[in-house]
Order: sequence, then C-alpha cells, then structure tokens
Amino acid sequence: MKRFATILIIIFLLLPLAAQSEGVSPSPHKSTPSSSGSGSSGGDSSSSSGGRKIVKLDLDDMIGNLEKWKQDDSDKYEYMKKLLYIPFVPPKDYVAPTVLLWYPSGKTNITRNDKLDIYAYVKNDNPIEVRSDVYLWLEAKGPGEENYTTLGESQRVILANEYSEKNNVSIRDWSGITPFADSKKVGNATFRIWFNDMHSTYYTDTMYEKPYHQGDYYSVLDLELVNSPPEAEAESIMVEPARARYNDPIRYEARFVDSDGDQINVTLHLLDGQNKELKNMTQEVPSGSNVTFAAGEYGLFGEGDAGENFSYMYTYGDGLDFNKTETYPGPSLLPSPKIFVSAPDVEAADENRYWWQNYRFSLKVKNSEVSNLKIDLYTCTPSHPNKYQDTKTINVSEEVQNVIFDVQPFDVSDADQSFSYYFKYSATDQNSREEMGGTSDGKINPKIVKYPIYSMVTIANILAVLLAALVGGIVIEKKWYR
Amino acid sequence: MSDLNGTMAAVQTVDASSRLVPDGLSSFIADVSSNGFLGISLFLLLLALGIALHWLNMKRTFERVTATNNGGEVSRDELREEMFIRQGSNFNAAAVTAWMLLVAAFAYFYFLTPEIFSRYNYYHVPDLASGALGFAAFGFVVLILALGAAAFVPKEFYGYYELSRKMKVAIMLAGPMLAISIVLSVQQGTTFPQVELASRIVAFLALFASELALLWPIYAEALGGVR
Repeated sequence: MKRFATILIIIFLLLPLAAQSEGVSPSPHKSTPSSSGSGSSGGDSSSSSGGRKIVKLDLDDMIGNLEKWKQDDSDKYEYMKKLLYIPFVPPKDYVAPTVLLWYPSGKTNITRNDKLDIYAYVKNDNPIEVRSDVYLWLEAKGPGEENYTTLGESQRVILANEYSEKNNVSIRDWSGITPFADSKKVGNATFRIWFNDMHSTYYTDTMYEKPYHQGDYYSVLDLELVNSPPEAEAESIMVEPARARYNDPIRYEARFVDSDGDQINVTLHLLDGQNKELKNMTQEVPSGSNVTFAAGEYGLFGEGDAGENFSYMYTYGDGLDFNKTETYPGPSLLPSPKIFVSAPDVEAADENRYWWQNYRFSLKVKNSEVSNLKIDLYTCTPSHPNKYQDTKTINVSEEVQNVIFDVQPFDVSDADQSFSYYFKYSATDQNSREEMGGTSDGKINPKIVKYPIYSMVTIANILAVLLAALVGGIVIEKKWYR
Repeated sequence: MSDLNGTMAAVQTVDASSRLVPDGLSSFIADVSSNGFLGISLFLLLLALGIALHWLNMKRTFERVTATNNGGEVSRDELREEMFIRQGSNFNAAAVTAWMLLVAAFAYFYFLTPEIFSRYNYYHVPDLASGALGFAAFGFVVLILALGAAAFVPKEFYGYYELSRKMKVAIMLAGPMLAISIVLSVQQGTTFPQVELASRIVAFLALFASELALLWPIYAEALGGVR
C-alpha cells in the first residue's frame, strides 16, 4: 500500500509538468476554467494559481493517460516505469510469518464428497508497524497429479492488525471444501498453502527445512482419497410388465447405492435372446434413488420386436469404480395378433352327455393372413388332462370361419367328471395368446356302460364267458380227469 | 370315477317290489353284499374252511385205516389211490365249469363296477371297459386266472367222497346259479350308477349258495365224522 501511494504521488506531481511541456491536456473537455472556481461535474478540475494553470486529474483520467502512453510511446513509457520503480526493502528485523495448515478433524481417509475443513494458522511475530498484509491461497494436488492447483476462491487476507494480541496468531479457514469431487483416481491427496507477505512468496511445503507436523498442524497435509464402489439393490431390479406388447409402457427400474454418496452413472444394456447387446443408455442418479428407463422414451422396441424375448443388465459406477449386474430376463414381447378368435363352444350329441357320445367343439376364427393355420383341440378331465383330440387346418379368408371338431373325446374313466377344452392354434390371436378354451357347463353323465343288459352286445358278452367256462370244463375233464 | 360312488349313493334305489326275503334280513344281506371286505372275507373263509375240513377228513380216514390194520403200515399215497372214486365225465366237466364260473362270478360281483371297490375295478382299464367286448374280455381274463385251480380242486374235493345223487345235482346246478349271478352282476354294471338292490342280493345269494354247494360234500363228511 505504501508503494502504491508513493507511485500515485509521483504521478500527480509529474503529470502537470508533462502536460505543460507537451501541450497535452489529458482531459481537455474537463479543463475549462470555472469562473466560480468550482470544478465541473466529475472528478477533475482546473484552477489558476499565480498565473499558472493547474490541472487536477481524477484517477480515471490518469489511467486513461497511462494506457495511451503505453500504446503511443511504449519506449518512453517503459523508461518512465524504470524511473518510478522503487524496490521495497523490508525492515532489517522483519521475519516472514509462520504459516501452517491446521486440520483439526484428523480424518486421513477422505472420499470425494467429504467436506473438508482446513485452516491456515499464521503466526506473525513482527511488530505491527513492520507487519505487512499477508495473502494466502490453498493449493491441492490430487491422486496422480504432478502439480499443485490453487483452489478457486481460496484467497484469504490477513491485515497487519488482524493478529491476536496475545500470541500474534491469526486463523483463516477454508471450510466445507470438496477439492476432489471430480477426481477419477484414488490415492494420495496433498494440500499446501502459498502466501505472499508483500515481500516474498512462500510455499508451506518448501519454506521449512523439513516438513512440519505436530498435532493437527502441518506444513504439508497428506490425506488418502478413498472410494467405496456403488452397489446394486438386486431386489429393486425389475422390468414391468415382464410380458407385454412392444408398444406397452415398459419400464426398467433399479436402485443403486453408493455409501460415499457419489453420483452414480447407470447404464442399461438391452440384450437380445442370445445376450447380444442391442442398445444401451445411461443416466446419472443420486445414490439411493430409483433409476427408471422408459422404453418409450428411449425407443427400445418396435413392431419388429413383437414375439421376441429380451434380457438386460446394468453397468454402474461412481467415476472411480465400475460394476455390473447379472443378466435378467425380460421383457417378453407378445407377438402381434395374426388371427381373431371368438366363441369357443361345445355341445354334446344329446342332453344325456354320456361319455361314449360325440361332442361338437367349435371356434370362430377370422384368419386373413396365415395360410394353413393349424388348430388343435385338447380336452381336459381329471382322468385325462390335456388329451389331444384332433387338428384342423384352415386357409386365409376374409370371412369368419367356424371351425368344428365332431369327436368322441372321452372314455369310461371320464364318466361323472367335469371337463374343459381348449383350442391351440399356430398363430397369435388378438389377446396375444395362442390358445383359447372353455369349460363345460355340466358333468359327463355318470353312466358307464353303453349297452343295456338286453342288448345283443351284452348278451353276446355273457354267453361268450359262460361258453368259455363250459368249454374249459369239458377240455379239462378230458385232459386231466381220465 | 372316484365321484361315482357319491353319485351312486345319491341315486341308489331299492326295488321295494322285490320282496324276496323279509325286510330285516333283506337289509342285512344288502349290507353284507355291499361290504366288499366282509364279502371277500366270507368267500375266502368258506374256501379255507373247506380246505381245512378236507385235510381233516383225509387225516381222520387215514388214522382209522391205520388203526384197523393191526399195526400194519399203511402208505398215504396207496390209501389215496385206493380211496379215489371216479365221479363220471359229465359230473366232472360240470364241476370244473362250476368252479371256473365261481371265480368269474366272484370277480363280476365285486370288481365289475366302482360301487364296492372304487379304486380297484374293471373300469380302471378304460381301453378295455370302453369297448364293446369289455365284459367278455374281463370274464376271459378271470377264467384264465381260475383255470389252474379249477383243473385240480374238483378232482381233490370230489374224488374221495361218496357223493349222493342230490349232492351231485346240487353241484351241477351251481353252474347255472353262477351264470345267473354273473348275468345279474353285469346288469348292475349296465345300470350303474343306479343300483338295483334286488338283483344285487340275488346275485350275492347265488354266488355264496353256489360256493356252499360246491364245498358241501366236504362239510357234510366233516359233520358226519364229528357225529
């Protein structure tokens, strides 16, 4: 400050002389004398004193002149600078202040998100009239870095009168700083302070003969930047709905947690049936929050994907550590409808619904694009679950076709049982299914024998048995009784 | 098929017009005839008793002959040979037929419909039971199984006893009675799950009366021996 004031005084003394000798008015428009002796509006004014015109310049005029001189006559300007330069010599008994880093938390393993509280401990034992202002900056060197970097907004100033009277100490703080928030490496992290006391510039890591460390005070603060990798919460990983049409609102959801609180980069990898990656997309989410990938938003599926099965996996990382989940199945995209089916029905040959009767199963089918559409009929009873009955093949038609199966689907063991049936077809219907069925209204009649006792069939059966016994008796008698 | 018993119970009717026996006795016989384990036990008991009594009869005869032989040694085989009586071809053929029919009638009565043994019956072979010749096929299988026993049992049971004419008639009538039992059992099958109780009782009585008739010579000899 003293230097600056001295320079200003000299310039003020020189400028009028220069203006007189060269006939230059630094601010001609403001140099008109005022009869009243008061200055015009602005900071400059002129007055007459003993026949000599005195031009007063304000700071802006002076800066303007200096810039002009520097531009117009740089040689003279440089010469003037030499003339004006007066090196500052500290007092003979001046001692540079002692500056240390004060790190009271003591935590040596830090993460990128840890808010650090680092302080400058400055002890200045010079008498107050000798002390100069001290400017301090905090510098850090991250893992793998060669040089220190001054932390932005880290300048601190201690004026001569800001030291404790008791011990000549002053403290400046850098609180809540996260200097390695964007670090891509872990490892050694070092802090130092560089400061200027208007005499010299010092670095705390080199100004002392050997590194100083006592208690929480350091000439160089060495910390270890560590990182915990993020983790996936397996139970949160899902795709909904797992079975859907290609244009349904399918959403992938997952949650990842980083114990350091780092932001997590989550990439969803969409895989095909052979686990080959088809697409990937990335989001950055805070730790512990759900990440959602909406298929519609990313255009994951198209009509051509209908009927395909997909799987997916996530890769995730916090910038330092990366990991991946296992591969999860889903979604299974339903095929696009090729046929329209309706009205499955069954009718027995008569209302008695005996097991030996024919039953007429029917299904209405509109098939306008599948040639040779196969339709299989299956019946289900407790005795014969999923029993295949017959197959019909129909061709393409714009008309609704009534497909009829007239079959005898049951045997005696199905008597007195309820039954259901279903048609299985070789294309996808309007419900994205490949089968449609129904349930019989009532049970199959419990009667188990088709023929009455007086029928020829029954009589023939009985006579055959009796005759066989008689023939057996005669043959045995002839063979073993004589 | 497991539901058939329930249905059968619901639709079971008693032919009240067929009063072959008094109500109390009818009810008792109906209960016995419907009880599969009791019926089979009774059937086997009569057979086992016949075999045991036949063995006792032969033993007693052998001891008597030995006792009257003044200490002389008598060979069992020689004695059996001496004791053997030929009963005539017609009788033998009828007896063998009757024994075969006895086994067949027993099977038809207990194992034709699901009524008595719902889990073990002819209808659990649906391919066979669903066919037109199912009843006959079932009978043939049973006859084949009975063939071995029928070949030797009559020879053993009737070759060492004096059979009166009445006994022979009774044994020869067992065949027709068993045929009636089979017909009535088949009828039960054709009306199932409806049960005609009168037919069932008659079939049951015919079956057990025939069994008694076929074993009667042994029982009679044993009773005579006791006296």
